[in-house]
Amino acid sequence: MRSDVARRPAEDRIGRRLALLAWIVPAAERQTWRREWQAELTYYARAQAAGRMRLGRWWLGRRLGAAFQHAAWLRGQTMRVDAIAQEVRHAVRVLARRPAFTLAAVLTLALGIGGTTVIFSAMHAVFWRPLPYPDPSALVMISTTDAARTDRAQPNSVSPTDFGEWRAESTSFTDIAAVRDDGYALQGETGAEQITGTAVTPAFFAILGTPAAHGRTLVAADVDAAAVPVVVLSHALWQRRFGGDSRVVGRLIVLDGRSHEVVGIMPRAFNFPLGSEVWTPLALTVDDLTKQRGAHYLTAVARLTRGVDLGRARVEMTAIALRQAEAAPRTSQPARTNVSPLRDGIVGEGIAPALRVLFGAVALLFLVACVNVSSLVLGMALGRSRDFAVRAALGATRFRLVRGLFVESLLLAGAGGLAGLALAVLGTRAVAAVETAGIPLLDETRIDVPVMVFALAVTFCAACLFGALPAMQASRDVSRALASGARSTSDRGRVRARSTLVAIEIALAVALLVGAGLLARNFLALARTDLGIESRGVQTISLSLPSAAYTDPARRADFVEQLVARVAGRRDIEAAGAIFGLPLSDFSYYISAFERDGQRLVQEEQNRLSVNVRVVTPGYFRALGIPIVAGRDFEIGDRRGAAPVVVLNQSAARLFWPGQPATGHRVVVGTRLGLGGDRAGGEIVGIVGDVRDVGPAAPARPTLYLAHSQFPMGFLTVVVRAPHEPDDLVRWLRETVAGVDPAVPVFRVRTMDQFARRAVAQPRLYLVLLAVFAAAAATLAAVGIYGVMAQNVAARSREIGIRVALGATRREVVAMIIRSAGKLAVSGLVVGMALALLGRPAIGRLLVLVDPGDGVTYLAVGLATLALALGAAWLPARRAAKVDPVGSLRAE
Amino acid sequence: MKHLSVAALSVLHAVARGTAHGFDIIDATGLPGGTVYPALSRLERDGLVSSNWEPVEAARAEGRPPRRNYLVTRFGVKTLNDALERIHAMKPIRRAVTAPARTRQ
Repeated sequence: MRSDVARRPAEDRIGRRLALLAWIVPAAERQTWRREWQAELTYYARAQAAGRMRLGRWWLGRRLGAAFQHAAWLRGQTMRVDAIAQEVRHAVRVLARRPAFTLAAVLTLALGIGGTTVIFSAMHAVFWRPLPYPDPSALVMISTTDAARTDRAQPNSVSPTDFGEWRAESTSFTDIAAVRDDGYALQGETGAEQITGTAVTPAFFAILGTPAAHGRTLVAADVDAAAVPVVVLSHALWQRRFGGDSRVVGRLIVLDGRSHEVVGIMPRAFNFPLGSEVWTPLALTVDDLTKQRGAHYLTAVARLTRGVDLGRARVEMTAIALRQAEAAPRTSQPARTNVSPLRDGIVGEGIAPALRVLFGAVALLFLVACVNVSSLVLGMALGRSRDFAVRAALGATRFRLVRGLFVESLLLAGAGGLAGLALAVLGTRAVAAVETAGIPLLDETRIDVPVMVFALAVTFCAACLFGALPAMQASRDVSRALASGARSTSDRGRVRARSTLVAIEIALAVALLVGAGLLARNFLALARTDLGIESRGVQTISLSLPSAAYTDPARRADFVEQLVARVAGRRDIEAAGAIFGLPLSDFSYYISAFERDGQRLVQEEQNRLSVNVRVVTPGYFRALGIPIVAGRDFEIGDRRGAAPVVVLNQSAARLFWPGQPATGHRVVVGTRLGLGGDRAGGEIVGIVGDVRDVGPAAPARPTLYLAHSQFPMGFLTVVVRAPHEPDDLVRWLRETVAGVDPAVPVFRVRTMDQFARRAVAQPRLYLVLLAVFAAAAATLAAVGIYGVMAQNVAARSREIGIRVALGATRREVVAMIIRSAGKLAVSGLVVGMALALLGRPAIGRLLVLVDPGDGVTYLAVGLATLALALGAAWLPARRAAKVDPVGSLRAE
Repeated sequence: MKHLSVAALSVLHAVARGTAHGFDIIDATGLPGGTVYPALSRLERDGLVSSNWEPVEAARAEGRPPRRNYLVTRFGVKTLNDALERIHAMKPIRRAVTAPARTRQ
């Protein structure tokens, strides 16, 4: 008997599970079914406990599974195909009889499902769709970072010597390839064109596991200095420039003034590094591999050996880094080595939190849509409660009524899902085509099988979400009607349920509005930020001097001097100059200082005094409107052979000589752009204003300017200030460049305003999307308020009639309705604000200049919500005021 | 009389031999529970077996709920024997006409 007591909880648990499963069984057989299974399970459990039977470990789970199968089988016996078809036909009839309701519900659902699907497909493209290479999970990017930086992969952070040592010492990888971003002038009949290219070590293609579509990829012999230069083309370039003619393999093309033999064409899907149009062999000399420790300009990709995971590779690379540090304390020492999945290296930081916020936002919109449709269905059910009661009285079971409603929900959701998918197709096309805002892989967004599966799941969720409450209401109505035999049903309860739904809608919309408001304030603040340049009326045009023809620095200096002089000579051009490393063009050239006032700096000082290095011609500062704060601009006299001169921006001046004028002092940085040497610097002749050259979100960096004639670079952007923006300016600039040398390609022809807009493209994209979601949610909420108020007025018209008959004024009636709308709005507002406060950490990741708890935004959203609620309640309130007391009393 | 599946036949056979309870039938036939129970329900619906409940006293003595008993009907016995006869009438195959094995070609 004692063991009897001990066993009871287990049997209770069995009983509870059976009770759940019993719902599946048709009502007529439910009792018998439950008794039988309970008895059998109990009997066996006892037998086992008493040691009379030895049952396997999973017997109970298996038997419960059998109980489920039995229950489902019994249910299946009662469900015949014709009955379901009839149910569907009935649902179609019901929906077709209410076209306005159906259309509203389908459109609302389409909005929710379509929006969610678009954002999901974007996330799928950026984060989850496998990269188009064999076994992509084994592909990694190896990088080095300063201790302060994050763990994420940093492209262009590996020095040739790092690469050489890793390749020699590591065992975790099948091979490692070095990649250097590059650009080439591609010569054609119509002139030169600048293309994006990559120099890679030959192992690159084997690591990515992709053979050429035509011809071959690179082989070890290609890096031989004596070999004919070769090039592999991307599918896109092959289509664009060579019309997809496979006979181009074996032909010669001219890159940077030198003939290259086309040896292969890659397949269409091969896109790494993103946007690369050609691949050439990267030759690293023994010198590079052993003595170039400080120059970090390579990206390293590798494939993990089978059986080695990321963790083990990381451990090994850390060990190698420590060994390197001990063997040779380096001049600029990267503190650590990272191994990260290739995708992380491609996508980079900052994108994931942003897309997560957007997905959260669109999920809120989806919920609003579901709640809205739920409220619509409830509203429709109001007119049908009598119908339900009659059907119930005629013998329809509660199950059948609820099933009928669920079929309606599924139909609605299905139609909404289809419309949503159509919307998503348009949306993804728009995303892929228009505004990638520099988000990698976003242009790969499309609707594929996983996205379709997602849309299907979302559709089903929608049906369950918005169908649940109306179905529960209906089933309660039916049982009440059957119990009391009463004909009247709970319209009051429905109105209350609808009000709750609308309050939820308002809450969700408020949360979205707060998010959109914060992003808007942030964006406005970014747009208002002074970048330190006057971008209006400035045209830029980039060019790169083919390296074969311009090996001599003097030729480079001559070309640029001549070009700038010709451009500046045009009458309607106010100022012109050129720069190596235009602001806002994603250009980074950071170099540590070497000497200050002739004194060599110690290691820590060198690192602390790192500066951005730029090379400019006279006229550049004037063309971009950068003020000369002290000293002078570069002059024509600052040429080769003359004393080397330097201009600092204010941040750099403060960094080197805090609290005293920097002009007249001397500074030298370590760099590879020097002529013959690896240092550059000189006397400081001027101080210029700070420029936020990575965009408004980041502070200005200390910058050191060198004179182009003293350090001539082959890659430049010509900057032209022409306040009247003459129509022929761009064409004239191209012609002027061609006039000096037709073999020099011109590219990236943009106004400075375009660069400035591009610098805030991501915040703008996030803002636009979130604003659209918030506006949609707010509209749905307003419609919800209107609907529930209108229904409220209709349901209470008798009461209102009595009030008016008893002497209530119109104004009092209006106030009554407005008050109840206000109550709804306030309760939604409170919950919504709380929701928004909870979301602060997430949205905070996207804000730079605005606090996520920004009071102004919250206040504005609060006021806007109240205004929206009152506006939506206005029409119903007017209608209430017009209620004719006599008519409404006579109606019953 | 509807077609009897092999599973239903084994279940019917087990009941006819006196195995009265569902779980015991599962054990006796070695079939999965998800097959046995639908088969039992169908046999009962078609009138091949009938069921009643174990006497309450017997169950109460052991402090557990009464189990359901399945019993074969006369019609069930006849159907079972007809089916078994038909099966017995089929002789084992000694020299089958088989499809030529592919690997031999």
